[in-house]
Amino acid sequence: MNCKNIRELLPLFVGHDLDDKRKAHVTSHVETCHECGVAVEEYRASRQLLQHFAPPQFSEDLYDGMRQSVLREIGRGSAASGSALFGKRFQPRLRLAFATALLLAVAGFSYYFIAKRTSEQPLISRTGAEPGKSAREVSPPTPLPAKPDTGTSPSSNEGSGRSTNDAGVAHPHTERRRNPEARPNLIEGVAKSPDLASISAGSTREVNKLAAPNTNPATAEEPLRVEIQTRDQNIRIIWFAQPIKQNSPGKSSKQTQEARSDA
Amino acid sequence: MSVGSREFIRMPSGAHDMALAVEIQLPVNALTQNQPSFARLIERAAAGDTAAFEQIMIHSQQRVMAMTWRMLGNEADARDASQEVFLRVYKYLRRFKQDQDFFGWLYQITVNVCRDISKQRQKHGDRFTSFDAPGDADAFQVPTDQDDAEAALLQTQQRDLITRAMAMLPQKERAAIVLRDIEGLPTEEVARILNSSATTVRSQISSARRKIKTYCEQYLKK
Repeated sequence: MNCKNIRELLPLFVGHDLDDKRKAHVTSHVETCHECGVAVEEYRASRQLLQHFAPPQFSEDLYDGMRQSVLREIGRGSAASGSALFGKRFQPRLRLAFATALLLAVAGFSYYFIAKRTSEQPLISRTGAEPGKSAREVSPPTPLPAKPDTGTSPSSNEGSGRSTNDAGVAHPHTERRRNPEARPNLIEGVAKSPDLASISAGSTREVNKLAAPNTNPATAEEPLRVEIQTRDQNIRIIWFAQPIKQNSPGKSSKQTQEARSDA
Repeated sequence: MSVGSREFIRMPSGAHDMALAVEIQLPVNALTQNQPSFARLIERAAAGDTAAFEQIMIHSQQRVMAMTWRMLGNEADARDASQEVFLRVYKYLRRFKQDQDFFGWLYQITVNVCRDISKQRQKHGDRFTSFDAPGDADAFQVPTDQDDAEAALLQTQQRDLITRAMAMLPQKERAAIVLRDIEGLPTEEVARILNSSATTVRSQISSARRKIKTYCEQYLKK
């Protein structure tokens, strides 16, 4: 063992805390190594100082007072052990439990109301209608005068749940006049879409309204509106179409010419 | 085994070369002479006899106060801690088994109480308070002979030095060194009281002795 290893053992050596084997190693080393011998003496001297680490002599009054306090506490504790034990130990737990229950209740109610609002909100925002009003009552885009088309359904069919065949016959016919290439593609795309095809085969609710041109001047002012309710109650497709006026009597010659150019 | 028959009660094995634990010789001797009666006192106190418990306190109060003062550093905290120690002793005395060492059990409670008080003190932002100033201790034995004044001054300086050295030790190391080097308990007993292993206690003791030596080195080389 070298001096470095011996120095590590010296604190235990001076306190007789080493086993016999190590103690013998350290003893033989200290006898020959002067520096380690000096270190051992310093450790012993510092340990001797510990005898001065003594408390002051406390007075008998202090001891008497301490004993009386202890006995008083014991007498008080035995007299009111039950309530004191409950007050000291269980009351904080009850408070904590009550606060936790209250917090959970508030969190539960908050979650319930938030979930309820989020489930109602999409329908309102998509239809743009206030609750209690139908989608029809929502202000439509700027209406253009519609030219009644001959041979189409009367306006008395409005709201009665038309079939998709009506939409395919009546409206695209009008639209094809304005844009003979784009609109039919859109209609065909909708018709060929597997999702919407299944919708159209689903029920009459899927097409709520098809406002076809009619002869009634009052209703002919309104734009075409097609609503498709998908199977998901939160998704409704609303399509507005602007009907085109054709050769309306009483209109200006400019509007008539414009309608002809569309045709 | 009756209470007081342990090695600790007889006298610490390494105490002869340490010249320590002088202040605890009186209660040790008293208990050694009265082992059967002390065991009876414990039985009676465990049954609720407060007079018997007061006798137990009288027998052990100096030792508990010395230990708490060494761990906490001032008289007020030491008094509060000692009071709490005896309250816990009374509370758990029914759990005490007669084949246990009463004073080892008492030291265990004392160390735990001091640890709790130290934690409370740290929680309130108080660090380890300095020990009671040695110079203001009227209770210390003042030499009557004027020739001993120089020796008394030297003793005061040494006490101040070791007190400051002990105050800088961590709580666990201080507890280990107090129990091992001042109270003179065997390392295994110290480990049991501190609820630790003997290897850990040796490591703590070694570290504490090295720190104390380093701190006092300057003074010792004068």
